[in-house]
Amino acid sequence: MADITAYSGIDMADIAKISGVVKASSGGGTASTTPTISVAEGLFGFTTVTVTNHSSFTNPNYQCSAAVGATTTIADSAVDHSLDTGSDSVSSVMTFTDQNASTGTRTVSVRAQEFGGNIQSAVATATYDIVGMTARYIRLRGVTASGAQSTNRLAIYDLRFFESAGQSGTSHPTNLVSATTDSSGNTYYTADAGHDYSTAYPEWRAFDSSSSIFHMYWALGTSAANNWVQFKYDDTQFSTPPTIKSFRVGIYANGHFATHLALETSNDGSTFTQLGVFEVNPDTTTKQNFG
Amino acid sequence: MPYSKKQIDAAVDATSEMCFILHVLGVEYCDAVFVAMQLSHDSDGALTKNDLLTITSLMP
Repeated sequence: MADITAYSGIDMADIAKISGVVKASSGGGTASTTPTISVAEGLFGFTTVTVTNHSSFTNPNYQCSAAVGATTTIADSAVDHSLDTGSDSVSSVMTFTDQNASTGTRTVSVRAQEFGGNIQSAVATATYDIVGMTARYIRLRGVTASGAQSTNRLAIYDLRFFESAGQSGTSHPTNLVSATTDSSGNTYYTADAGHDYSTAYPEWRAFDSSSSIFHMYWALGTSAANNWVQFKYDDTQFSTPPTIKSFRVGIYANGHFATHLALETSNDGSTFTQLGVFEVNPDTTTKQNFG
Repeated sequence: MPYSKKQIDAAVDATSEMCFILHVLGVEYCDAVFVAMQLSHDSDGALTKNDLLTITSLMP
């Protein structure tokens, strides 16, 4: 096809001169109302963003992302949108789990675009920090989806808690060879459980060096109240317990019936607070990471 | 996990032949059989009274 040298009588060279002066159309229409947002930060990067002026939009969609400086920690594609009552449009609530290893305060950005020929709104921003936990006792309990105690037993062959997100940084406890001693002979941690079936499956097996699924803590025959395993930081070695920002668990799926694990902490060993409930997949071959 | 005949016999005795066959064929999962096999392996077929009580409590 021959080159076009003129268009409607105007030389192409003249058209080229104004290229870049005239902005491309963005589709026209009025900008959507700028959303107002609130951010609630849960344990290990679980974040809830709520558009507080949601009712002022007509059938909107929201674009949401988070970043530390120039590093995107959460892309819009990683954000879970929920539906309004009636399931006919998106709701005001968006959630995601920020497991990015970047440190520092995150800035979450939200734009709205509503039905009716409107273009996207200006961006609304808010900030959050990754929340960890600091406690003398850390307990994992088998629970229901709602966090209620359950007799659905635990079968855990590996359980470790990390000082940084993404299962990085110093891990706790070290590899135990008994309830109170690690493989180096130190007594920095004490493992405990609400129920031990037999000496073949004691609580410290969840924290030992073996990667064998049969070297596990198994709460066979447990009651709902006793369906837990925990460790305690030694008071002398850890005058202040470290802050934990992620954990990893390996379950023996055939012997493990708890669909959810509750993370509970305490500083006195008697009063525990439930910090979060985590769904586990019945998968023996892949350890599951949270945070 | 390998099982000896002694261990399997103990697990079958603690459960039932029907449950055991359906379980190992994958027709119907039976927690009692699974637990019996695990405990029988641990004890080399010498299931304790506590083991038997636990297994019985899991029978369908």
